[in-house]
This record gives sequence, C-alpha cells and structure tokens, in this order.
Amino acid sequence: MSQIRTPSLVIIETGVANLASVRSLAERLGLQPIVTSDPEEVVRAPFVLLPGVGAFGPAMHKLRERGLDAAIRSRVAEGRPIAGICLGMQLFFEASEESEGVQGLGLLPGKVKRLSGGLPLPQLGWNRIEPEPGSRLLQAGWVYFANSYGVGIEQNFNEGAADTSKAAFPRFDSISLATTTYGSAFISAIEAWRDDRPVLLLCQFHPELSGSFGKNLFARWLELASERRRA
Amino acid sequence: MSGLAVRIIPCLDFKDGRVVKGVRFENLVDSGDPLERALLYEAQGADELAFLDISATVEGRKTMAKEVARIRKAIAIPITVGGGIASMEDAARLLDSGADRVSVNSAAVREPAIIEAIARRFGVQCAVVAIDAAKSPAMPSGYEVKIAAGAVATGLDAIEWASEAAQRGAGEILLTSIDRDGTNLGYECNLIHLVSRAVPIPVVASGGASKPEHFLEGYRNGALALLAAGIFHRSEVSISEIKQYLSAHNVEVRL
Repeated sequence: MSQIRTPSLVIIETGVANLASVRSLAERLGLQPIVTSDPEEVVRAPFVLLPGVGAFGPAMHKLRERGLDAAIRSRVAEGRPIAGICLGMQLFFEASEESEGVQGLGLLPGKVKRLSGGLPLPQLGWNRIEPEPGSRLLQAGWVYFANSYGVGIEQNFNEGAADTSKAAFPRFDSISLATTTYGSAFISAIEAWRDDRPVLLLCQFHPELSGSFGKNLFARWLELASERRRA
Repeated sequence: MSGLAVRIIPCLDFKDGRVVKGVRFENLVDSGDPLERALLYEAQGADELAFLDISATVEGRKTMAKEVARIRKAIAIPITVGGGIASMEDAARLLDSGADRVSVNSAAVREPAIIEAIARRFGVQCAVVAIDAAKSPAMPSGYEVKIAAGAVATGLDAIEWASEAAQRGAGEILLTSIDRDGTNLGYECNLIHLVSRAVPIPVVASGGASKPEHFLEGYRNGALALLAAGIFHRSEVSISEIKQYLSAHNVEVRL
C-alpha cells in the first residue's frame, strides 16, 4: 500500500468532464487532487467531490456502469463527506427534466427542473446566494453559475421521511439551503449535517470558478467535515 | 428580477504566447505577458476572461494550450477560449488544458454540426458561437457574417446565423462588430439589439467599447455580457471603474 502524505481530494471521474478547474481548486486548498473512477476509492477517501459534467442521463449512466452510484450511496449512508458541483448536485435527486425516465442517485427527494422565468438560458454568470438562517457552512455572496436546470424552492426535504411507502432517503440531522433568483427562485446550495459533520455540500454554482468565495466555502467544509474534529 | 450580474469580460488576443491587440483585426501591437494580464484583470473584478488565439501556426496553437494551463492554475474565474478551433479534438485539448468554455467561429460556419457535437459532449454552457459581423446592405438584417478573421464574406445573414447556432445547441453568442473592432466608437448597438431579441441564449457584445457609457449602451441593447480588449490592455479604463458606472445607473454588477 502506498502512503499518501498530502491530504487528498478524490474527484470522481465520469469520463466526460473538464476537470482542470476543480483540480486547481483542490490545489489552492493544499490538497492533492486524485481523479478516479474506482468505486473502492470513492467509498474510502476522506473527501470526495462529484463535479459537474454534461447532461443528467449520460452522467448517471456512467456512474452506474462503473458502480460509482452504489459507492456514493454507501458513503452517504456511512455519514462520510461528499460534495457535488452543478450537475454533481442535481444527480443527488431522484430525477431530472433534462433526461426523463432516468433515475438519479435518489439521496434527496425531488426532481430537477428546467429554470423558468423567461430569461435567457443557460444562466451564465455571477448571481447571489442567500443562505437561510441557521446555515453553518453557507454564507451570502456572489458565485458563478452555468446552468439551465435546478431544484425549485418548493422542494420539501422532509416529505420522504414521513411517507414510508416512498424510497428511504438517508437520515440527516439537519438540512439548510441557500437560494438564488434568476427569473424565479431555485435552490443554489445545500448543506446536510449528521453527527455534527457536514456530510453533503451541494452547490448548483461553480465554487471552483467563484474566486476566493468558492475557496473559502470549501475550506470551511473540509475543516468541519474532517475526521479529526470528532477525535 | 434577474438577480444575475452583467459580466465584464476582458479579452486577451494571443499570438504565439503573447498578448496582442490590433485595429479592425489588423496592425497588431504586443501588450505583454498573458498571466500577468489575467491576474491583473481578476484582481480588478473581471467576471470572466476570454482568450482569442490568432496564431496561424501549429506551434502557436500548442503554445496557446500551455498558456491556458498556466493561467488556469493561477486564477479562479471562468475562461473562454476561441480562435482557430476547427475540430472536436481542438476543443477537447483546450478544455483539458483548463478552458471552461470554447468558442467556435469559422469552423461552425463551415461545418455547423460542430456546435451540436460540443454541446452534446461538454454541455451547452460550454458551446459558445463567435460571430464576426459587418454591415452589409445586401443582407435582410443589414449585417453579414464574416469568417477567417474577417477576411471572408459568407453571404450569411448575422441574425439568421445566430438563430441557427442557438437552435443547434449554442449556449451563448459572442457577437463582434468588425466595423467597430478597435475603433473606440462604442458597440454596434443595433446589431446587439437585433441578435439579443432573436435568440433565447445570452449574447456577449464585442467590438469598439472604450468608455463606461459604451458598456451601459451595450447592456441596454440586450447584451448580458460586455467584452473589451484594447482599453483594458492600455489601462485606459479599469474594470472597476466600468462597474461603478454601471452600478450608479442601476445595473446589477458584482462589486
């Protein structure tokens, strides 16, 4: 077994993504980026990132083909931290209008929809995120978006827990959201906590392209999600 | 309410690894080291960077990919790269090097299917179609598409071509007025207005801006992003000055 000295960020390779920007983010955080499509590595790694790639359907297909969907589910079930960016956030939901009939990871209830409001799509550029009170990780600020799809603010994250006939979603102690308005409001980020750790950090925006704001957000996530905090 | 800030995009024209700038696509002047420029613009509040490769040689193109990689490591805002992208391989190489989006110009006119191919493989947000347009009374809209850095007239109407590019999966139109490029006379507002109204995707205005007022005019005519090169290279106006001006006129900017 090789010993890795620099702490690493495992970036899930789905075969179609441009990973230079997320690699640069990892390096700015003092982490060694490791790009892999090995499910074992995805289960074990201290920190994992699912980047934004292409379209919902092809990305889910790639994840399933390599058993990465199961690896991500088992990580979340064990309460181990994982972040998702852009499409990487959307894949955590049950489905998307972008690829009807394709099942998502289903770790959060709801369906991703095409942004409404009559403005040009994709939404390209900088917009504000507004975290709801009680957010510990997310802060208000300008972030960079490149999306045509998103999750509407009407989504209720408790509906799965109440209805036992539905798919069982993983248990979180708390979920906090940030929202953004582009014609209409959508969920721009999610932090989900269990046992005092931010297990999920999901960003509809691109932290890797959001200047120091994105770097600082990930630095807070890494610190709060670190195993050492619990020791 | 949109909420989205209008983007100010400095464009760096590259020739064999150096930043250059010309007037009406000619008379190139060396403006220095690209990394230095990129860092300066990021610090001034640039919302995105555009790189345009005007190298004519294979060697020059390889240099470009290396420069993109070097700058990608240093800055944390989006980078769009265009100029001479003729194939999926060209696009993939630049994206692998660290570009977030690629813009295709002449290749898209010659072989429009490249727009669909880029959008399918890398996502629509990645597929920028650059259109260089010049006034032409023979066209229905009064503007004709030119390719090969403005040297070749295509007989295509600029508005019709922009609509077709959007239908084929372009995520943005980078619209340059050849008549205004490098002239400091301001954007060709009528052209911006016509194209913005015709397509359901964002339009970037380019060519001729030299004063904060020009940026406001571009925005008011429908552009969601405003690009300039020479005035930033020569430090005639800073990005923050332009943003202050726009903000004072109730335009949403990232300050």
